[in-house]
Amino acid sequence: MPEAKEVFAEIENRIKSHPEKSAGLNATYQFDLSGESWTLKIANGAPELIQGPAQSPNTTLIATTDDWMNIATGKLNPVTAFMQQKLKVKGDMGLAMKLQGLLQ
Amino acid sequence: MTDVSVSSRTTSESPLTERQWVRRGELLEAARRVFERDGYHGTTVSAVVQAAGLSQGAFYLYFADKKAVFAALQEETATLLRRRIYWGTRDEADARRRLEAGLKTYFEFYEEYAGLIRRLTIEGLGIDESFEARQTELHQTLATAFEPTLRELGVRATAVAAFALLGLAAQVAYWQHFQRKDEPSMSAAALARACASLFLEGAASIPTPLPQEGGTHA
Repeated sequence: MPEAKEVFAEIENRIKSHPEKSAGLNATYQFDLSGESWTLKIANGAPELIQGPAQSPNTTLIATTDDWMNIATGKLNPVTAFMQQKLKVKGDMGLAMKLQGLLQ
Repeated sequence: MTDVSVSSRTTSESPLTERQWVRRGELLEAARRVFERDGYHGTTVSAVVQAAGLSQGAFYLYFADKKAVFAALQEETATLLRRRIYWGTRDEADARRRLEAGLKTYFEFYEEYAGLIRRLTIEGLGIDESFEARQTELHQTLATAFEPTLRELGVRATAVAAFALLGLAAQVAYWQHFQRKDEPSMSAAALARACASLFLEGAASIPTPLPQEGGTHA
């Protein structure tokens, strides 16, 4: 199982390698995992990964580290995780779905 | 290619609320069950909303039609498979073991989503060009992911080999799950080793008998 840091770095790389998908997007995502927070800030399509919470996130995704890692590595379907309340989303749900699109 | 993975709603509409997200998820899960049971052509929007316990009107808030929800499931499945193979092979330094890890991940994924993959691969290709394009895109992505490993293993025509490998894996997975379903199933690891062996050294190299798990398919 990779570490959370590797998974978030891969998310950042994926967004960078497909700039057409995030073009014009401005959003701050906060990920609250078990005892750690990560922030993915996308400014005009450009991603920046920060370890720690955001000042004013648009969308906060909350999950245990294990569940988040399973979602990120394809072992857990995010829709199923959301239905089973393994993944909770606060704030702008539209941006949460946009993130799902960015990571495809 | 039109992105139907998020929903059939247009971007000008207001964002989904949490309740709407749950409903969309319920519809997707219900659609998955009905498609697996009845097939694409046998599935109706009425059957999906009935399985979800929602109204027909609720369905059309999230999806334009049956095709749109099938497309969303196709996209979702492809994303999960791509992610799983990427992370399942990423840290394996040895090329042979990386090839086996990729195949094992594929067989495990197939076992988990066999009912839906069967519908997507058999019926999905006949629906229209957009389904075929998404399936082709998935195959291309997977083939591209396997190519460096094959090159490292001394395979020269890597593009041809990668697509042949995918075809081999798909057929073996189908055979294992659907054609020999009353027999003890073979482990994903054993199938992966057999396929890698067949692919790299020829059919005579496959060890027999292959290890079995002892159970049959659910």
